Amino acid sequence: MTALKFSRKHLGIPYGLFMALFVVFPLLLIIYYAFTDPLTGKLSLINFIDFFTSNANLTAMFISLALAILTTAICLLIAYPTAYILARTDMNKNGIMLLLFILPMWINFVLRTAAMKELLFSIGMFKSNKTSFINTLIGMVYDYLPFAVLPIYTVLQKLDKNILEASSDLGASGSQTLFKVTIPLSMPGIVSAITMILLPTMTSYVVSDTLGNGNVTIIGKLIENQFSTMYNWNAGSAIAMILLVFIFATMLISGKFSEEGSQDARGGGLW
Amino acid sequence: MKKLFSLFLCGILMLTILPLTSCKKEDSLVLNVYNWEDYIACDEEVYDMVAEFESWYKATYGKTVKVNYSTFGTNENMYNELKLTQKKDGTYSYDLVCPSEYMIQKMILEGMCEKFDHSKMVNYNNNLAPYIENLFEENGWYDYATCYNWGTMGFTYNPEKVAYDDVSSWSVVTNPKYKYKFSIKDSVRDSYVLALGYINREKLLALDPNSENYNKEVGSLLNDFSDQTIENARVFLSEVRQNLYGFEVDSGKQDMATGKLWINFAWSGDAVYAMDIAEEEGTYLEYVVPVEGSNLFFDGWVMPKGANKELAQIFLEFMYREDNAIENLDYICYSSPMVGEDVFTYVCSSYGLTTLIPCNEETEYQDANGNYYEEVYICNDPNFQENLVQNGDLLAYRLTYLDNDGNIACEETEIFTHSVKHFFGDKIEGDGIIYTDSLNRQLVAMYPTPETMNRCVVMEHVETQTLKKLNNMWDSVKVGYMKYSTMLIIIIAAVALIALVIVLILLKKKGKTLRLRKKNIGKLVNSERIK
Repeated sequence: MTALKFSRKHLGIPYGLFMALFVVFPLLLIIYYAFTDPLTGKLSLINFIDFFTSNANLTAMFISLALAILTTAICLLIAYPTAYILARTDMNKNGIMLLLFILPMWINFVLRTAAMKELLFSIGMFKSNKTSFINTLIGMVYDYLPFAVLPIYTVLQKLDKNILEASSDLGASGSQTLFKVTIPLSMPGIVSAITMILLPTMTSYVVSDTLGNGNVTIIGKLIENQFSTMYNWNAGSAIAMILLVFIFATMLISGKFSEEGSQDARGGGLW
Repeated sequence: MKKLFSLFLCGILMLTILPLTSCKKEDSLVLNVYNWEDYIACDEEVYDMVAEFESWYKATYGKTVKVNYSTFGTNENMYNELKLTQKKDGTYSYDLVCPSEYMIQKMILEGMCEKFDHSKMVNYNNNLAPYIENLFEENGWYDYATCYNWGTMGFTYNPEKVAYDDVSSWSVVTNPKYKYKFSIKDSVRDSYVLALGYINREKLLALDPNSENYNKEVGSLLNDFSDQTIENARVFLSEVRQNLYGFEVDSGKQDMATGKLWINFAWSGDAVYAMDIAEEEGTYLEYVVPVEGSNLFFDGWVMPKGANKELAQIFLEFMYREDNAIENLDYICYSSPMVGEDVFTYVCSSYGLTTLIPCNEETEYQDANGNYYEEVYICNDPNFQENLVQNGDLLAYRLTYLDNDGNIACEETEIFTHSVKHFFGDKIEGDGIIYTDSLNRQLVAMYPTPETMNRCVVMEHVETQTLKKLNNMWDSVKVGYMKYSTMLIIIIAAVALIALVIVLILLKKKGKTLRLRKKNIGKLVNSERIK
């Protein structure tokens, strides 16, 4: 009787199984559905042709892209100084300030959005449907801000202080240090913030439905419609695949930056 | 020793598993029910229909039955789930499902449903409202489906802000007075009714409500799916979109209660619910079905092929028992097709004014024993009851309440009569008159007048191709329109921007390497000098 030899490799089996079952298999299903005709069940490109010939779908794509890019940009603009102050000053000695920024993340997403609706209503943001887009944007920024603060904070905190001292020793001014040393070194944090915000904002239609009152239709809503009310899984899968292409494109571009950054940050990045 | 111990453990484990497995084999009665979310009395503290059924079944038949109760959010999700879990022999893994009218039509057409054995549906047939029975029989659904709830579509509105004359027509959505203050449904079928009601309003109003074919003619006008009409609906709804507060399917009730909305395009059951929650906030909402005609909807139970018919019918019979029907009515707020003396009493006591005691203006508000009445109306006509058989008759009266000290705190209100006889039919004795203080609130929303019901029609199931056109129409309404040229410009700008950034980065890198080389050369030169 030969006993099964246990090696460290076997620890990876659950992970591999998990990936195969819940990542690879569903992905294959999506691809299968996306390339099948809903009526005949044969292989075809009809879903993609339908998507790119429909003005509504393309418009929704542009609206969601605009929303996603704006949300990400605003989140970064708010989160970077915040994370910088939290990481580099005494304000966050006990970690309480950081906790306050992260706290909303632990409260139910739908509840937070509903609360935001009441808040915006009380300052008169629901008087017309012209402000729907801005309301949605505010809600998205509010919901995704912790996702930007946290990775940037982690990177900035791990930043070697000697490097900054060296920079000022060598005569760089404060702003020069910021732009030439701190920001390039915190690039991995920024990139992971972008990847964590850009895509979810294109699909989290709860925010656009609640705060935009359904006046803002983003691509995630289209997918949901195709699946749950229009009974067209094929078209829904096709849109999901197109979205996937976008994800990979952003990953590819941001991956380039993060590689550069992480080399310098000596493995301080999350990616 | 260790081996013995592990054997012992194994033995114990086996022992614990054995009774479990045998238990399951003995009575394998399982009922799979698939219903809308929040669509059955399921308040654990008050009345839990499913649990009550399980214990009732045990008590009556001596067997345990397990109800697997699951819920869905849209008809299409339910249909998908059925198709996905379809077994090889063509049967489905649910015993009872509760789709809406158009999905029932689709499922019957596709032969997915079992027939009911109506000889066993005693409670259902005893208490079924004649109106619903006719509707089901005329359309051939009677054998395949039993009605669960029904209702109309109309507008919930806040009478303090909105005039009745405005809101009783579909054209209210174009009224500039209510700009940004009304919402419509985020659902293509419901909003299409709204569009058809507006587009065909002149034709609809020209019809004679007293003619025999009135209902059928309204039906054909509100079931118009021609390409031209769909295009007209798109144009109309796109215009409406500019002026509305938003699209919703669920949040409208809350928004009406909190005053964000003045008008909400709603299902009558939701309207009743909205009125109930708004009352707690001190707002009194009303509901109206537009005069042009509207949609009549219902949800019904069907048994998919392969269902355990006997058990499913026993479950339905349990739910259709009058006391259980009342529990459901109380919980769901949608109108039940079940009628009878008990239901009538329930409706009277929850939505009508019950303790009305006639007396003249001169009469004291006291009875023979010297007790004060809680509610009193004053009517100058002593024979009022014989005269009032018409719906909506107004009684001149005064409603009074007693305060804690026994003093009369008087409050003047109007009282109307509303008869539900046309809906309850022979199932109740008497003329079915309920006194109410408003003709546009819960009672009338649940049991509309015969005139209202005459102008409400069921929206038919549509073919896949038509549905696709409708969906495309709806997509373009919801999303809006962006010119292709604008898109192209944006794409070109974006590509140019990205290219610029890449070029800049590349240039910078080149610069860096050049500088480094220069530095290195410099170093070399320096070191040579030192040498």
